[in-house]
Amino acid sequence: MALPGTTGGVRRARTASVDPAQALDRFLAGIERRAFRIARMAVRDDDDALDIVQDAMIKLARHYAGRPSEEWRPLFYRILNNGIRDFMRRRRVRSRVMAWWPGRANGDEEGADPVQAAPDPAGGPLELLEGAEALAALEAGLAALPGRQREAFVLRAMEGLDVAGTAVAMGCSEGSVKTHYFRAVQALKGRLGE
Amino acid sequence: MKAGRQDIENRARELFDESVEGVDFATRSRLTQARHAALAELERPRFRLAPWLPAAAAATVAAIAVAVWLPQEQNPEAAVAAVDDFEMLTLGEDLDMLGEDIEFYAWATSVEAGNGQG
Repeated sequence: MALPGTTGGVRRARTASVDPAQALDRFLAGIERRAFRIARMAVRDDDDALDIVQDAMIKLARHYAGRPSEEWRPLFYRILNNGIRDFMRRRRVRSRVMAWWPGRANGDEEGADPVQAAPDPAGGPLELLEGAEALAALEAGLAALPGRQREAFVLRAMEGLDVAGTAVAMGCSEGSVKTHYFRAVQALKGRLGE
Repeated sequence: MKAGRQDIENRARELFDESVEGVDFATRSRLTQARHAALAELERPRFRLAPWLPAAAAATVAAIAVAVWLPQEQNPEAAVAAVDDFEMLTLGEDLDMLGEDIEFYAWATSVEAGNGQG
């Protein structure tokens, strides 16, 4: 048994007193919008991003709910990144197949919902345009990065994970995280200016 | 260089946080639904396949196959008799002969049985 006052003792006591379902609910509620934005930046579609986030939530609950809550964050981002990667791979394959399919090359555009494509009336005053443009530039810059560099930058700079947590989330070594992150920053600096 | 990197990180984080705050209510609602669906997984009973189950199923099928085939393989007399019966059925003239001399064959069989007992 851990001594009172030690970090382990406090953590265990806190974990024991909180209902796991409540703890997971709180964790997911705190992370869901950020996860959605990360997925949205990668796949550029709201519905697809929501599907990816929901899958990640379900997988976390199904497979890792019993793990200590401190591990949830990197595990969740690992699942999310895998989901995004799988989605992008499927999309590439689909677009390759559709390129060979006569008359269906622009199928996605035909099926686009005009209501969703319309500008959001609650988009905000004009003074927000600068922020929106900056965000669009950042998203374009991130989209231009190789996948692993984008993951490293999003997890480290935007989500604030440390190197070890990012390594868990990306499923690679800490050295690889540092390399990917350094290259991502260099590429973004070149693209967005300083 | 360090300052440039810091600027990029800070600006990116700032923009990202703003975009998170700007997520519309419809999307927030759908995210809440997604979270509830995920939490429902905790209530669902789990039927996990044991890792050894496929191997056990394969072994059971193999055992049944052996049980069906092995008795026939282990009784060579039965196998020879089956082949003889098959030959008799395929040769029509031998069946005719059986019909003509049925009494003789009945007598020969009874004599043979008597010799076997003695």
